[in-house]
Amino acid sequence: MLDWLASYDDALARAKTTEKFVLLDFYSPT
Amino acid sequence: MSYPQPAVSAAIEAFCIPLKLDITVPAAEPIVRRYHQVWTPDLRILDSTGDELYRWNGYLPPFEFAPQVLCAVGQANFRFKRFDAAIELYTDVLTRFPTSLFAPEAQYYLACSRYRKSHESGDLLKGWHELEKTYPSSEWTVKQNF
Repeated sequence: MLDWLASYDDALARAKTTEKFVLLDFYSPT
Repeated sequence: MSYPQPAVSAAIEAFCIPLKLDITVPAAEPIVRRYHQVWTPDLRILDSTGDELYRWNGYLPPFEFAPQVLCAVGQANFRFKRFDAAIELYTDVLTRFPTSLFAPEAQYYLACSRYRKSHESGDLLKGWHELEKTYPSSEWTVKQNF
């Protein structure tokens, strides 16, 4: 299972420390 | 939903920090505005500063989603001039997903990546010839004509 983040800032910070990219999925629950 | 499929989750996990943003939540509004987001599904590949390196819209089944992620990350590496990483990703697409919608894009940028690494025009021409031969009706074959 993927560990999805919900915080933009946390994702960028984690990308920086891991040298990965951020996969940003914009979604609407409706 | 494509995410639970092993090939998809493995591609994301290996190269990406996955982030889901609910566009209906007020807190997401500045991010929606920054990226001019108007239609879902909407996926972006960002670097750690938030710069967008690749994007796509629309649903993809697992067989197409995995190579799309690999091409997207390949492009991100290409734009950072990490040509070895890009070559590895595009080669992976062509090896494991040769009939994918994204295989022609991989073949196109594999040639570009090899050329940018070696500065040998033969690497570009050989790769693009392969593109024309293997995927003659692809939009990427049209783009490599000059």
